[in-house]
Amino acid sequence: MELYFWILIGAILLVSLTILLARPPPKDNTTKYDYENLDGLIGDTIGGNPIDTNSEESNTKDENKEPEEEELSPEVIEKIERRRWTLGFVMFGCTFIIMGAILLFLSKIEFTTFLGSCMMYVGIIALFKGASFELQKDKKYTGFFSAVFFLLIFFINFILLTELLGVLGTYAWAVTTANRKAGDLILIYLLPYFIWKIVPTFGAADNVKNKSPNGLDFTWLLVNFQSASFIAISNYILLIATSQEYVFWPIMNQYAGPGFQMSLYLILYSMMGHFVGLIYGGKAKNIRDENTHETEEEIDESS
Amino acid sequence: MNLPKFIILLAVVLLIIPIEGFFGDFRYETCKDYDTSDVNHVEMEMYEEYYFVCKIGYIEGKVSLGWIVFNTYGVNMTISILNTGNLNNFISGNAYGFSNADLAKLHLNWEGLNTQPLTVNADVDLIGDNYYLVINLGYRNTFGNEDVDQKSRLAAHSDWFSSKILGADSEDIACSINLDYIEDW
Repeated sequence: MELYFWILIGAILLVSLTILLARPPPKDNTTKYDYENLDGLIGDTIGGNPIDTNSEESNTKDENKEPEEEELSPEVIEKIERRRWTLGFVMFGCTFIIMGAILLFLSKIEFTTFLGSCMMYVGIIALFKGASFELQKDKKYTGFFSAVFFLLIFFINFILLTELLGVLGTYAWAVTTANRKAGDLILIYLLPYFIWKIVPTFGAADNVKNKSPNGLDFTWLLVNFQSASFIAISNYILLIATSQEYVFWPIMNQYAGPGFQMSLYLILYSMMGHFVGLIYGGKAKNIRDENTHETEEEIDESS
Repeated sequence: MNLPKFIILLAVVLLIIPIEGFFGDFRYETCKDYDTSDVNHVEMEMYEEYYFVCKIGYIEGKVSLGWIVFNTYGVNMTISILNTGNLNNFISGNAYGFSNADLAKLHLNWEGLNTQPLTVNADVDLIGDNYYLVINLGYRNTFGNEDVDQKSRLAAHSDWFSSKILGADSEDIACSINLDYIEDW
């Protein structure tokens, strides 16, 4: 039965990956202007006003101009695109929820119950993703809302996996195999992240900024320190709240412990990445400084 | 992130990571299952007059639960399986007990017993909660309220450092849990 769940998850990731790869390439703003080649050209305009001399010509040109099609600004295009995605996700989500509910209502067979639950799970997640697109349309408080929605998706995902599907919390952590532990943690932490990040984002242009000049881009290997810290703090709060039983949520407590431990290693990994960047950046700077120094010396010698 | 900031953050993270270290609150070792032929080691030097806890995890429903302890030095101790609420009470010095009558069957006072390995098992019907194997090596003497002497963070960290990093040779007790899910009760 669980195999079917994994197939569904695989299918969602495959579709997400296809969307990610198939979307149009981001605009590269660096090639927009080549400032080095924009040498100034001075025309024979001394002593006369070019506007005055060409005024008649320009007037006739204006009159003969055909009404051009109104060009849409990038913001408007983005809004339209956002609206399309929202509509797509909401439609997809609602269809899956309704189909799942019908399946659950009509059939009592174990397989169809599980299938219906899976469909409802996918539908609810899609609905949340779609709603988040629309709620963030004004780009206000994007960072804050992003964190809030990630947490919301995380909790919804966890509740659906435990209560609706019963995929998590079926075995005690002590007797769970290593593969199963890894699978559970992926489902709890990585799946909401993928749902949140891999499905179309509207910050594609930002990726261009981080590309290294030599064409090799290893930035995807880096883990954002702030994100890792955010995950660690959230997990720690969950661990304390459920251990002290301020909130009685024992299943969450079972996973919050390993989750917190994992996020600490993630912080360590992100710090190591930054450290390597620090050394690499320092070396590159030294090489650049040395080169400039050598060129200056050569110029001095030749002069 | 500059270098001094990096070093400070690294030190903080390395201080937090150890489960039984400076910031080890509510994080416990995971119990080893007897079926995997692996055991948890309880080092006497580290836990003398204290307690050892390992987490079994979330259990709900009917299971066969128990423990195996290899007490080769015949150390006096009590062994119990507690749920989260009772474990918190045990640690804080409040009155504690067992959340289930069957769990009480798994409690044992190892006083004057021999040095042979001991196994205790019982079929229990548990409500959904996290359960822990608790080995009390003199931290608590009664089930009622009593004053307890909890380790300071620094002492806990130094104990962890000398035991796990310096690898000091110490007598130890080996233990593991035995958990099987019962399909047809």
